[in-house]
Amino acid sequence: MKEKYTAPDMEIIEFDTE
Amino acid sequence: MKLNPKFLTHETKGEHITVSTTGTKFNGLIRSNPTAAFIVESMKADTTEREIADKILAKYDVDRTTAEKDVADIVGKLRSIGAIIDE
Repeated sequence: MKEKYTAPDMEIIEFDTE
Repeated sequence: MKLNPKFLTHETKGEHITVSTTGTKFNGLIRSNPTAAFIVESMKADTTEREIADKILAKYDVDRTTAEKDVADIVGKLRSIGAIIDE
């Protein structure tokens, strides 16, 4: 039994060094 | 291609985080849902987009076209911040 598929989601958070 | 070893992953309470370390142009972190995390983890060893799509097809109920497109999208995002290296 295969798992239900959820589209991959990715949040990219860039640090503000300044 | 594989995940740049200067990017470290950590999973806690179901949340998957990838963090850049020193020596990378990108300074920040990446938060992934379980499917994106599966793709990231699949890249800890040298692999190809097709191999990752094959793994997704074996694990999830999804068609090949969707799997390959989704893998390409995630790989593109990771590549844009230098998180993927080609050997």
